[in-house]
Amino acid sequence: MSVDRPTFHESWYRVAGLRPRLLSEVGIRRQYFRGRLWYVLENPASNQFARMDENAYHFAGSLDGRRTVSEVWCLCNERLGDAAPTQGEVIHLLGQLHAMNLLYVDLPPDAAGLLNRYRRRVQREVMGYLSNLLFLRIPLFDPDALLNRWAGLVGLAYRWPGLLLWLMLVGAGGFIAVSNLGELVAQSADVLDPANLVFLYLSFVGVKICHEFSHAFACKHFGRLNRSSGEVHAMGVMFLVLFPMPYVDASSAWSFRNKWHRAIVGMAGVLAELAIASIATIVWTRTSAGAVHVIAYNVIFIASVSTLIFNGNPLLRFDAYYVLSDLIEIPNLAQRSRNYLYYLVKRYAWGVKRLSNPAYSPGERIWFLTYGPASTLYRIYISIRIVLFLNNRLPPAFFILVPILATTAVLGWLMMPLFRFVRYLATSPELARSRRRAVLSTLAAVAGTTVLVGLIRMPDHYRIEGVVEPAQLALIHAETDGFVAGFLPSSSTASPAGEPLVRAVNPELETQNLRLQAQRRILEVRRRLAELEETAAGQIVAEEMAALDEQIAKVQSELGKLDLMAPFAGIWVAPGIDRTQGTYLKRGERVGFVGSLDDLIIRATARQEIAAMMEDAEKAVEFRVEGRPDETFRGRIEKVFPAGQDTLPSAALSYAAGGSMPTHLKPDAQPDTKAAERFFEIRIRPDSRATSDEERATLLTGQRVIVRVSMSPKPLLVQWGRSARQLFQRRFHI
Amino acid sequence: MTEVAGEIWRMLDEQTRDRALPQGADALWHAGMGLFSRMRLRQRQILHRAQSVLAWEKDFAGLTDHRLQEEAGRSREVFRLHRDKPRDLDRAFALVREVAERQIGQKPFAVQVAGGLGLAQGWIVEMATGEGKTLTATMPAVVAGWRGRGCHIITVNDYLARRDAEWMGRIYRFCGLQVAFIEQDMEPKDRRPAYLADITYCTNKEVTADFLRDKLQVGRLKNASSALLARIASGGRSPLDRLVQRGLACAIVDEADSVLVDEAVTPLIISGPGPNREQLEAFRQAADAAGALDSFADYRINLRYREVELTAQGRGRLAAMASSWPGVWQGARRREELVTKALTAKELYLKDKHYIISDGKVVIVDDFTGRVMPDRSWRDGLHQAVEAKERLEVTDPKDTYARISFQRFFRLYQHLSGMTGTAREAAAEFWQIYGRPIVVIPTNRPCRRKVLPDIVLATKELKWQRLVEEVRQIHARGRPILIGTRSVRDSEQLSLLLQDERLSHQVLNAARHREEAQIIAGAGQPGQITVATNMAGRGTDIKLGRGVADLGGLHVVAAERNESGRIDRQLFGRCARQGDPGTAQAIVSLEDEFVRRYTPDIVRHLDRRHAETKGDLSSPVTRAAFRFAQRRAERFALRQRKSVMQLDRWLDENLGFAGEL
Repeated sequence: MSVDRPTFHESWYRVAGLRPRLLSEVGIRRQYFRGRLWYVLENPASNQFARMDENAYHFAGSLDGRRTVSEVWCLCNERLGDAAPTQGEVIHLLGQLHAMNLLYVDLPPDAAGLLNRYRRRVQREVMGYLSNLLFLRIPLFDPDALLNRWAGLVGLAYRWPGLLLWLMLVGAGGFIAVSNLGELVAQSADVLDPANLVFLYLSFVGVKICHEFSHAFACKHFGRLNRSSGEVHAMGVMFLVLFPMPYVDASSAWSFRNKWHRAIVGMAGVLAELAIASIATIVWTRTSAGAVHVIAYNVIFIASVSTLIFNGNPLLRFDAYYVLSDLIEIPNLAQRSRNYLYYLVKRYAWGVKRLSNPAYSPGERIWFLTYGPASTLYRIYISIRIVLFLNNRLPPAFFILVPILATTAVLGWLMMPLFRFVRYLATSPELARSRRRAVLSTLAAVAGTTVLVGLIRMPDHYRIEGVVEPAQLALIHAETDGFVAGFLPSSSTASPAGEPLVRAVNPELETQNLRLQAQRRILEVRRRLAELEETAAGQIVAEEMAALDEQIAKVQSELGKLDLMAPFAGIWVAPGIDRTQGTYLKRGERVGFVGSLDDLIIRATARQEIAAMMEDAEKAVEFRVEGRPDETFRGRIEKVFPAGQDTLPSAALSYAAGGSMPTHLKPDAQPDTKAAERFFEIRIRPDSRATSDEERATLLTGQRVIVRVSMSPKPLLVQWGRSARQLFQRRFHI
Repeated sequence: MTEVAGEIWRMLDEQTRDRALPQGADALWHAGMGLFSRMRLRQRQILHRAQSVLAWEKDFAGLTDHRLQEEAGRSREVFRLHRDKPRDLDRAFALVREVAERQIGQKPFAVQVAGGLGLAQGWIVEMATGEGKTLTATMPAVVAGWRGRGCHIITVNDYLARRDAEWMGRIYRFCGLQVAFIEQDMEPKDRRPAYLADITYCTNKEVTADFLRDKLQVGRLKNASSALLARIASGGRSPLDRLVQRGLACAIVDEADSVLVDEAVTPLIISGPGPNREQLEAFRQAADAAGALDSFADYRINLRYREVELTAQGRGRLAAMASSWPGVWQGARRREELVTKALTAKELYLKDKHYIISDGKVVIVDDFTGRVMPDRSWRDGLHQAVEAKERLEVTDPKDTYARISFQRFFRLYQHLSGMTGTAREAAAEFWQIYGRPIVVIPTNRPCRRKVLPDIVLATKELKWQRLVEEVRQIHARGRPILIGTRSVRDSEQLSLLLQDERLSHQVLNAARHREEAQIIAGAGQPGQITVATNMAGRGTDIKLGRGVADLGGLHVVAAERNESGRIDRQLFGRCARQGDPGTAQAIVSLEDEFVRRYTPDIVRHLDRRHAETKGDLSSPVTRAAFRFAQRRAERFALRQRKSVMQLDRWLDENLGFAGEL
């Protein structure tokens, strides 16, 4: 029969004669979700909830223990007509209610079934733990009594004055943080210092305890406002990426009537963390080096990171997710989002008929469409980042954990779903009629991806950094001692025929010059006299004069050297020249340099793994000047100098100065030009064609440029594989 | 107040909850074990053991009847106390062999002993037709009887139950066991002692129905203690007094493949009237509406899944039509459901194929066997829809009281074993669903059957012509012929064609088992022509008449391939039994229903290719196409059986509070 919702069900007889009713302790609430009325049934003993729509509730609510299921069903049919649940739906509903222990039937309890369900639930939980080692939870104790004792006092924080105080605190903290951003960022390098790890962890636990208690107290506080018990019965340890941290189960907040109250309970942890971070920021600015300072910094770091990456981010299933799904009134957002995407695939790609759409409204559809992919991508991204982070930071003793974690992540998030998917494709009765189409379209998709990733060659690029340098460079040294009398301003063009770069005066030399001139004149007089008196004496005088002339020439040449001229046309670079007016220049002192203008060259550095592939690279490259991504220059690789160098062409390329080359930090924290490992130097000559006038203006000596080196195109798979291998190689030294 | 036998109390404490099928990795493991267990050389092991049974022969051959009976008594004690060792089983088998020879004059061959050993192990034993399965079953049955928990031997029809019980009864009685059989029209008070007998011959339907009726009696008394309390509370008049069975200890299923596989998901339903006048009128209106709708424009038919679906236009027309009709017609869902059902009745349930009309009533014809099933009715209003279509009086729809599928029922037996002529094809299913491995027992004498390649023809008409032609040729030589058809309709059509050719013949369509058994038994006489639906006369051997073997033995023609290769093999197994010669052949056409249903694309292709040749398409390629269709049908059926099982499981888990069945 081909009907969407067949009225009859062959197993109806099994329930028709029963007289069940909902358990008396079941709490029922009407709740609107995105404008649709739902009834939420709660079993307070087990904290289990069931949600049903109006029609289903009409049925379940009419079960009173006196009427049989069959009678109630007939009643529903009369009243609701087409909307009434069908027999199959009733059976399903009763089964669900029973499975959640919400149903009372006057029959001997089905102990075997109960135990079976319990065993399966435990099994599923254990499997859940094992398959998700990155986020493991172990409940430890029941904090309810403790919370009740203090709820009155701590609850004050969740009232209006508390909120005001919080706003002020966070405002102040935020302001301080923003104004000290540079310092905050700079100090982050120390956070993962091995010496700091213990502090970091203790701070972490401290912050998380506050976080969890904040949830618990909020739950209690708003529980009182909502006349709900707000019970909190489980507290324990959760292993987040193997770091134990506390958690609290405040799920009873779900029964609060006011959704904003629920939201506050959900976000209470994050709110508390922000408050703590603010306090820590204030403390941090008020203290200088010392234990308090360090701990304060750790707290800031943890509270902000965990808020941004985990708890405050709705894309992972932590606090913010639940709050989000509650606020937008889509319970179970992640699951249903996934179901909706599956539904789309099944319906449109596979042509499965008679599926029920998991989205009830267009609004939900949009949420489902965006949330599912976003959260999946984010989760994958975060997992990879965590593994990479551990890969880089974990002490070697614990290093074995990284492959274990990576393997579990791959198993749990890749292999298991894949296996399940294949099994679904092969065996699901749902696909019985469109299996061929489903399998074929899946194969086509896989083949398409394989071709795209594995066969089609994609451009393969590498980026390396370099600095612009003149091809010709003349260092200008003072050639004679002297006082600076005038100079050409730095960065101006100079030419041998033009103004001198530096004009200096040397009074001593000048005096000497004058003295020698005077002496010469004396000799001149003496020579004339000698010519008149005795020729022999004249000979001697002439010799003296020649010697004196030599001296004069020497001094004059010295004087001439006081004006420093450019050896060739180019740009005059002398950053400190402004301050040299009147100062004394010693001979041999460096004043600045002149770089050629038309003849620039780029010296780029490449680490070994990139340089190894330079063979394969195309000679023509593109590069951009850092800070000006809009203009592209072209150039050619001129020469690759083999490894062996470890002095960077410029400190600007070092890691500490924002470049990409790791360097050793010197104790005075000054950027060093000594690279941590030897590198290759690649010289690139900008195309002359490209260095037209306007471009030349932007390409300046000393600029940092990013060079894009094109390799021969390769399939993406090959590219990725190479990156992954390099990553492993770097870490494992294989 | 009658005595409640201890066995009945035991039944109440029995675990009747179905064991779950393994899932996930467990299922893989289980399937792997199945493959592994299939590789075990059961056959050799069992034949070897049969030899050691035969070796006991001389120990008993010299004993007097009295001494033999004493020996039996001693054995019985050993088994009753469950102190038996493997050696005791061999000895008991040898003893039964001796008894069988003295009582009915047949001594089980080594292969029969091997089969019996397989049954005692709880395996599914494949023995070729005519190898004496009835006698084989006596050996494990005696042992099971001795154990004192009863043993059900399941046969496919009442006639066989009675015949076998009477035929083999002497063996059992000699061994100190009571034997009884159950027939369809037996009263409960007669059934009770029959089930209390040590060995009970019954059909699968009867034993299942009795089980369900007992369950209804017990109602929701969960276990022995609550039953005891109820009995005390009600002053001794407890529903227990009306129970007939005493628990499901041991079953030997004859024709195991048909019971455990083909009919496995057919549910057995105990129902009663559930009158609803308003609805009866609605069925008539639905039939009218269905008559007014047009195929394709208003609804589409899906042959493969046997479904009808309304199109948007059909829905609209229906809504317009029903706007003035009362009650159920106002809701779109109910309305469309009713009409879809009426359309299904109109398009997919055909008179003389799926049902016949006798005495103004719709009587269902079993799809598999071609047999009429007077006490069966379709569910969920389909029966009423068919009645309304035929303008008959619409009967009250029935309310289900209890329901179980054979598959589930037979899984409840503590010890289940089966025999069949064709188990190999279903080995995986026997393992997956019942956890039973199979063992193939060789024939006593080498088989001389020759299966000729299929003749494939383009149209049905050509097929009938060719069939009659074949019959005439072989008949001319004096050889007996058996023609197997799939439906009553086909057998009647063929009968008409043969009449036109003045070929005298017998027609069987599985209505009366006793007469059929006699006709079938005579089908081996020279010059006999027998037209039978597939299952007619199952369980009865066709013995060859004098001189027939020299002519080449019985020739079997299958007028159509069946949806399962097993059934074809069973039909072919009718000839060349016990070392006789015989031939078998299938004559099929591209218009046969099942190829159209399962491989419509291939058929279309072949059709196009041979459109001009018009005629004989027999070639390895076309034969392969038929085999492919068959394979597909088998897979489809298996998947369906599994999904029924899964549904049952879901219900079990989630409706645990509502009792078990």
